Amino acid sequence: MSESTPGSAELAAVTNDFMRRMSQGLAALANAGDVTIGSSAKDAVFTEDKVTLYRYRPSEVVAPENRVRTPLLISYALVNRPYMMDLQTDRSLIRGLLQRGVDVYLIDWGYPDGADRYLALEDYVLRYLPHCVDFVRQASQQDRINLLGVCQGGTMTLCYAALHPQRLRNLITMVTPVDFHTPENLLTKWAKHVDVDALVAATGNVSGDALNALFVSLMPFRLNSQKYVDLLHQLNDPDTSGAALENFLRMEKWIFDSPDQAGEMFRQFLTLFVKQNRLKDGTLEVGGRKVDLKQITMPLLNIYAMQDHLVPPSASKPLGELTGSSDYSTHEFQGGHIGIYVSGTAQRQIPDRIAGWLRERDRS
Amino acid sequence: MTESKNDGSDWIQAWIQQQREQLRRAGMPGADAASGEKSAGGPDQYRDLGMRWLEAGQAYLQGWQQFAQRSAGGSAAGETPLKFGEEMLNAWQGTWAGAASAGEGATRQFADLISRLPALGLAREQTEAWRELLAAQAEYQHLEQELRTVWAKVQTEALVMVEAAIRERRAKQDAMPGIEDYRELYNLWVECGEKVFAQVAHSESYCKLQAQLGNAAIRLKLRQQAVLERALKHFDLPTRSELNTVHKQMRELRERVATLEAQLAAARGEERS
Repeated sequence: MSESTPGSAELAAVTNDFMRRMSQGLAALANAGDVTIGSSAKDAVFTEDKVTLYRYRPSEVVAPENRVRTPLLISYALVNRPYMMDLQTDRSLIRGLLQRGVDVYLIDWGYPDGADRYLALEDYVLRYLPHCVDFVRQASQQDRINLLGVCQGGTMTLCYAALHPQRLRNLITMVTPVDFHTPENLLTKWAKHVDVDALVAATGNVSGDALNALFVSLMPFRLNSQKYVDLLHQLNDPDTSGAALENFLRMEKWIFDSPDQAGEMFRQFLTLFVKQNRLKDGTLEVGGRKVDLKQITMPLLNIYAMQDHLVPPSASKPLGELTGSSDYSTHEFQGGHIGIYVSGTAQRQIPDRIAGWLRERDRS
Repeated sequence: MTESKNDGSDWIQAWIQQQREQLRRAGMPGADAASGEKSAGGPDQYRDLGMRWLEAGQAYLQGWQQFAQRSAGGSAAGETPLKFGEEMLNAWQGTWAGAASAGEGATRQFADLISRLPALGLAREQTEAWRELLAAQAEYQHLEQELRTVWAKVQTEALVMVEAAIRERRAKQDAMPGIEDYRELYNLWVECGEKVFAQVAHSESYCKLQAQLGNAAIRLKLRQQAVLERALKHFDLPTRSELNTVHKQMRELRERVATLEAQLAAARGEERS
């Protein structure tokens, strides 16, 4: 474009302004320090291979009579790190639950490496998860405990609950896909033609970085560019606190701190759940045992996010018709897949909803 | 700090024009050919392979020629037993040298020929592995170019949508605020880009193309692994395939131990009862 083009001088001026603000933002960003992750005290109480089970220290300010008697075990997804549940003091589902008297355990699946490439669905659903459940049952001296599954971790808990319903008092699923073939599910559409057998043969474990690239490419303009431009502009605003920058950096850490996926587990998940939709169709088998969602007869709370672009609500909602539970509740959260853990609204709504729902069913 | 304000007329149009120009230069189909740059497709790979063959062939023949000359030096003039062979070698070397100097066209023809010939001789397996690798790379690059073309179209259509949105704002000047600064325009571009991309991303053709590219990348990686593993074996270094075998065996052993432990526990329980 020549300098004589109409508007070129004005364009140069506004571009310069924009770039100046970006540069100032970058200068502010350069002064940012490291961020810390996690807010609630916890202890590792059980380990198996790379899996660690944590128990969060109960809140001392909750009176014994206000505590939920049955412990809650949280099974997070394999795709990201579970510290999303306790990211920071004012963004922590776990802290919210502790403050409401819930005894919280959390499974950390660890970072699979090359030696774990043959870990399969049955290892997670029939070995690690049951061992964690049994540990909590034993430690709490209760036959049945409460189980909360998040996203892919929710899908695994549904399998477990269908196979071992007698060990669970209540089940909660959060942003959990059940029907992978709804029209809004872009990830399924993208996966449809992928040769997943060859993928796993070529890569062994599936790289967390590659999955991140995939997730970011779902909304490439926003996630590759706009969010960083927004940040740099905000850093120019004197009203923007250092906390906002820390929040952003903490979230960046979480988003890109992605474990590789054990190859065989990934292959099975993509084939059986995503491509073939077997959980919904009732044709899924784990370790030779049929997973029938009608076997899930315990009280069930299904929480999903209405603006979720990864697990659209349409993927979670069918659970109500598929389960055998006569005490089925839902909670529709007005937000996205990540906002459901970290937004201000989530801090006000979600712990209250979960703790209240559990308390109502604690002594039944 | 102040930002430039504008009623959103000429500079916005200038920005859109600038973006179009960048797209034309960077990614639109035909841009590479127009600029005279090498295409990213397969022929370059074959050309490179052809050049390597030429170099190797020349070195090989030069070695034989030196051997022939040394041998000929020990015999009487005119009675060289290797004279005929030497002439042949010279003729062959001339052919190789001619191929090298005949320019890209001849090299390409040679490379095309090589790519169609069945692999032969001592290096048959290596040649085949490399040829498969090059074919996989060419396939990957071709599909990557196709995907880039789609992305360029998304950006082009996003610009069209930006223009339409600006026209709409101008038409409803009273009801809608105009674009006042660069960031507003940028945000509008992002919004339009995501809208266009969402439509494209859900289409069967895009899903297929993206998966095809992914599958091509997988095939390329498998071919690379095959070549690397051959090299590792040559140096008696462990390969991933061997590790996989070990991991599979360990897994099977672990399962058998778990089964035996369960059987043992059950037997002990029976004994106690």
